[in-house]
Amino acid sequence: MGTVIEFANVTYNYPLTKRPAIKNLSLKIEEGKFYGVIGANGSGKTTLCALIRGFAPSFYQGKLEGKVLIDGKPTTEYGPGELALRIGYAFQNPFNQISGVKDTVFEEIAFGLENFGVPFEEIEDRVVDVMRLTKIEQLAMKNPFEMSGGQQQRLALASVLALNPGIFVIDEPTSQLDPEGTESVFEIIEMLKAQKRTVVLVEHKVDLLAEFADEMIVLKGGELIRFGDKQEILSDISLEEKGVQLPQYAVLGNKLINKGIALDYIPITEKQAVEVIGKAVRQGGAS
Amino acid sequence: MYIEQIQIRKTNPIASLYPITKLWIVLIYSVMSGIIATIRFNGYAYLLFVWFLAVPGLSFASGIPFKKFWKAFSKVLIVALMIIGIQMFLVQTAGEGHSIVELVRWHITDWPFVIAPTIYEYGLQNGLELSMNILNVAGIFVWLFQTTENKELSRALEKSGLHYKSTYVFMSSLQMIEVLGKNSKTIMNAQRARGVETEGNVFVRMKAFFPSIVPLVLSAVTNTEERVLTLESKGFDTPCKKTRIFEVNKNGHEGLALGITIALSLVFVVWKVLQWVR
Amino acid sequence: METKKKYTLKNDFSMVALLLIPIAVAINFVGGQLASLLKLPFYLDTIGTILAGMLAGPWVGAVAGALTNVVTGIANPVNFYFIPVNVIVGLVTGFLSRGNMFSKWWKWIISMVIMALASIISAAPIVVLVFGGVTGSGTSLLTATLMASGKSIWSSVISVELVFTVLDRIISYVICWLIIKVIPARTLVKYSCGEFYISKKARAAAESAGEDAPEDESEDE
Repeated sequence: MGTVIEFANVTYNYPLTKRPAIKNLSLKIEEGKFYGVIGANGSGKTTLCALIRGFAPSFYQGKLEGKVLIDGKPTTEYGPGELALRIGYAFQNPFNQISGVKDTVFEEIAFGLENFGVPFEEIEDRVVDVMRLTKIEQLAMKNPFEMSGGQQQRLALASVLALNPGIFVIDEPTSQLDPEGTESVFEIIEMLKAQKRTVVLVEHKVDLLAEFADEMIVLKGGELIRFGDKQEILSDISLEEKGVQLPQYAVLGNKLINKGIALDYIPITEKQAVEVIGKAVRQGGAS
Repeated sequence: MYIEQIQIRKTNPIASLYPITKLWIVLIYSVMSGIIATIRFNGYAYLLFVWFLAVPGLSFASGIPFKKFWKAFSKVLIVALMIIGIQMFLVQTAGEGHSIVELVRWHITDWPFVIAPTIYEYGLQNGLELSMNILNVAGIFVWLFQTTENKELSRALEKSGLHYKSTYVFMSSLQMIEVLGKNSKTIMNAQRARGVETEGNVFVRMKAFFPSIVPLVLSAVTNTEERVLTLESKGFDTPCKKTRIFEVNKNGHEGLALGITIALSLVFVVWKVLQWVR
Repeated sequence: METKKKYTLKNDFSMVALLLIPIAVAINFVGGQLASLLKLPFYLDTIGTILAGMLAGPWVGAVAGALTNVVTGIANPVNFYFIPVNVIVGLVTGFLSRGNMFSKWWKWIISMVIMALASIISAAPIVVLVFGGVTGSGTSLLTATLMASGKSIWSSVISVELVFTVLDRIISYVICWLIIKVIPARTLVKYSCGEFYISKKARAAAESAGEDAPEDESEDE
């Protein structure tokens, strides 16, 4: 497993701003792992995504110090559209992720393939595969503008997936969706993990991150305050003062420990909670 | 399977002519209309009516249902009728030195309050020319757009060399009109619910315009930023040969169609030349 | 000492400007629709063109204007004839914008006069020569009345245009300017003429806030 994304002491300012959105950030992202990005609003999570994808500074302009390296090469040295094939990017507003010129889901997904000059014979199969993986094949002939938010978001992810990038950067994909839409989007994210793609996911729903992530990236005020193993980070109650919301099971676990109940470890998922609290209850009952 | 489903297949041989050929027909027809307008018989350009017959002729031969044709055409017809009306009742002469010829002058009879309109010959002739010209040109465009989907026109233009970013802007405009149109109704209803008055005098109604349009424009402009990122991610900026899954093809009758158009046009060109020479 | 800004077609037609064009077309359409829904005596169908011209210069404005009439012409071909009018609105607005002619009130007056002249010069000939004075819109009745009272076609059309088109443009410009005032500075910066409209106050606010990132949209209020 090699390093695919590297931040080398990166500081970035949006245009016309004095205070940097990201300050002195260094980290390495390894291939095939799933990273969850958390932090208070305004802590630089979206900026982090934009930096990885190269939109900062190329689209947002502004000032970049330090280097953001993808596969060892700075993002600024990639040509237009090159990074799109390596890094897939999805964000909050499903409506803005539709090209706006195609009137069927099929053509919308094929749009990216058309633009990259993928040979005609390959297109149909690739689109059908992706529609099956994201479970939207039944919507193939539907007009993207007549779909629900959740469906549109699945379409956005499908369109990105069709280009087969090894890295996925996803910025709060479920914030504007209802619970049903959220669930369907997370099914797709689960699939990305199963395919062993490198995923960087910004999410407020920490409980879901606890299920999928391998490692966590915690930001505050544009700086990296924690980076590493998810179990350790997501159970650390001191992070709540830094604006981070812990999974409910971790909160529960911490509270129980404060009340004097001994737990082997602090759980962060439902499964862990059942296991570790159940054990404590049995032991408590036995004594 | 899906690629086949998104193609447009038409059975009517005229409707399925290649879009660029249709554009040529429209162009030749419009130019000829201007020329035919100058062939006068006692000052009247009767031949314009004959030329106009091509519009309903082509439309019905292409299989356009009457209702659909009428919906677009009636708008133009109203304008044409207004033009004739205004011209024939109000426009007396071509200017200084030209005589005023009255065609009809009704006398005020026992109906004391009936206004007696006079119909002026110059106005009638001028009005007929102007309105027939407009009917011809507008009519042939109605035929074009009712037998050609925007998608087809777009693809054909791209094949002829129009840059793909231009076709994108064109198609996106059509889509945006629909989206913003829907949003504006929503916003206006929301404003009404908040108590913004939409009835009343001009100033009240003006005040209702502003809060209806501003949020629309604002959200549209800021959403544009993210859409730029989306397009970049879909290879829009990448300079390479693009594949296209939607295709438009010639149906084989293009030569015949253009031939007939040119032949008919030549008839009138010759007529004009003869009239001019005499 | 600032060097004179150099405008290139490439900069004018950046991706954001290119994507602004469909929006401008749609705004023109919706503006016209709203105006007739509210039964206002103005067209208000050039707000989009003006916005495009102000933000991205004359050529983008011209394309937005032309495309509007091409697209609306599909439903009603009469609109094709007025392509030049909309194009001129875009061109004039764009050139005025490049010259920063909207920054002070006296500059506004000059701009409005130029715009009024340009509008009349472009619209009147079309109305007279192609339509004989009557376009089927509400103002046609007024034109007809003037003609009936003995005035020539040209003076009737120009009188009516003078009042209604000029008023229409002035109102549209004001609406546009007010809209631009609420567009955030970080968006304005991306358009070739956008900087002129970033007020000192907005600039100061952006600098001190520091956090100008797009992620602010995600706040749960």
